[in-house]
This record gives sequence, structure tokens and C-alpha cells, in this order.
Amino acid sequence: MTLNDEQLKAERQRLSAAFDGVLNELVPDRLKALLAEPAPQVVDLDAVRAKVQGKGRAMSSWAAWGGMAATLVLGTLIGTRLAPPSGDDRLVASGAIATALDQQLASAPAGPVATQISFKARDGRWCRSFSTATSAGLACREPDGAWALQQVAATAAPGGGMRQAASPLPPAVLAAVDGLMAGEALNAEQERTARDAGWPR
Amino acid sequence: MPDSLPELRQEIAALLPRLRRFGRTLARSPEDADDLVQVAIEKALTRTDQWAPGTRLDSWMFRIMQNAWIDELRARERRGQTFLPEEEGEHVGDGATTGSQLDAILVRKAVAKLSEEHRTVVGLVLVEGLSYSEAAETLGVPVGTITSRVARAREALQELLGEWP
Repeated sequence: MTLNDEQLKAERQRLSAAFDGVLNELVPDRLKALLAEPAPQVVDLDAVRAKVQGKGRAMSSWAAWGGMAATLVLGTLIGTRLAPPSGDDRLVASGAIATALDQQLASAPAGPVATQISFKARDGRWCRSFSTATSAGLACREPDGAWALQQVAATAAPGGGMRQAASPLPPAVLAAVDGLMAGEALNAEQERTARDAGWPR
Repeated sequence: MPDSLPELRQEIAALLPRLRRFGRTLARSPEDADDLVQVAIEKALTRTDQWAPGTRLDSWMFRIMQNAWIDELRARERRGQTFLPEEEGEHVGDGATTGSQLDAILVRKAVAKLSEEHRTVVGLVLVEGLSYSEAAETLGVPVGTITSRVARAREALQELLGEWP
């Protein structure tokens, strides 16, 4: 080995000693979560509904939803209580998410749920996007006041720093917004007006 | 869903410790490093068409990380964040810091003071062990560029660390 080779080898060893410690560290959960099997399930509820209705069965109990919806509910809406469907085949938000959809303005986030955009759907319903630490979705307000979920998806856990600028809404949710929105999203003032009026039809 | 996605996911999972190590060289602080790894993984998972199972995953991921880091630096510049070599929060164990722990801290601080270009080649070639041609391919530059950057980086470390190695 030439002198330079020996020198280089010694330099590499010293660098390894300085940087190899991280190889033995426990990998943070948020990185492992990105790679977990199965992949976060993004389920189009309209497609699920269409499939279910095609079979001509009344889906009024949780048990009837089966594996896919269970993954949806349990895997992507961790920590959120979902009200049982009220006789039809919809999933509705409840608890902190429902409260946020009813009351919270995008300009005044508070608590574990954030809202982003509000708009009127083509069928006249008010729709709002929301996100939590682990999931995001789109819900539309039904005549009985319940916020029916149109789309939900898991989000990667936030990490601060360079992650802060990224949108909290996964592509599937944004696509659902595109599919439903009539016209423009509400600005802050319009959102406040609609919220104050209780999201009138 | 592309067929190679489950395989890509598994291979990236196996690569995570090295990705985090390269992240530390590039981004200096452990938090920034893990943020960088996260951004790169998310990008990689949307680009399964660019990776064929059986090909080198590490250089592909390092390239994604390096480009993401450049994007982050530009974004910080636009946000007007002054970018000084960060004081890495060192966690040393209770009791006396051993000589080798102290040396490791000094080496990491010295690497953190290097220019972006020098730090990148130190990371790829000297820490991650890529060959000069693999590093050249990762960065999309001629091999000669890698050779001279590594040489100058080693000189810079020599100056910063006095007795080197």
C-alpha cells in the first residue's frame, strides 16, 4: 500500500468511527411507518358504496362492512370515534373531527384536528377537508347535520423542519376535492359566514 | 400498484440506517437528517418506475436525498434563513467523555464546516464507501470532478483537524 493509500484508509476509519454510531440507533417510527406493509389504504368510499349497493344488501351494521372498511376505519382513523351508520351505508365523523368540521375555521386552528378548505359540492352540500396527526379526509354535510366522509387517507407523520411547508392533504383527498367542488373554495370571510350560519343549505 | 413497490419498500427499509447516516453527513443535525430521509423515501415511493429490482438502490436513494437537500437549501435561502454550520447537540453519556467520543465529535464538527460539495463527496465516498465512479453517477458529474472534490475535501479536513488522520 502506498503512503497515500494508508493515509486514506486511516481517514476512512476515523470518519467511520465518527458517523457509524447512527447505524446502531433505533430507526424512528415515523420513518418505519412510511415503509410498513400493507401500504396505507386509500379507499374511495363511493366505489365501496357502489359495490355494496350492487349486491343489494342493507349495510346498516359495522360487521357488514368487512375487511376493507375495517382497515379504513381502524388503520387510518386511529383514535377517532366514528358514529355507526344511521341506516344507510355512510361513514360519518364524530367526536373531535365532527366538532372541528362544525365549528373550526381554517384561519383559527385549535386542537388535534385542522381544517383546510371549505366549498359547496355540485349536489349543494357543504364539504370541508380536515387532517389529524395520522390521517386526512374530506367530509360533506348531510341534511341531518352529519358530516359524511367522502375520502380518507393516512398521512405521513409530521417531522417539523422542512416538512412544515408540505400540504397536509394527501393526493387522494385533493382528488376527491376536485371531483366534488362546484366553483371556488370559500375564502376566510365566506367560511366564517357559512360557519356562523350553521352551514345553511 | 406497481409490482416492484413492495420490494422497493422492503429494500428501502433495509437501507434505512445507511440513509440516516448519509443524512447526518449531508444535513448535519439529526432532525434535519431524518426529515431529509423522510422526504426522500416519499419521493422514491412515487417513482417506482425509475428503479428496477436488482439494481443499486443506495446510489439511487442518495441521489434523491442529495437533490432534496439542495431543494431544502434553496427554500431556506428564499425564506431568508441564515445558514451557519449548526452546533450539533451532542449527547454524551454520564461520566467522562472518552477520548474516542471526543474525537468523533470533533470529526463531525469538522465535516459540518465543509462546503456543501465537499461534504457530499465525503459522505458518498469516504463514509458510505461508494467508488469514485459510483459517486460520479450519483451526482451526475464526471469522475474527474469527484476525484478533485475528494482531494480538496480531504485537504480541508486536514486543515480543520490539524493532525489528520
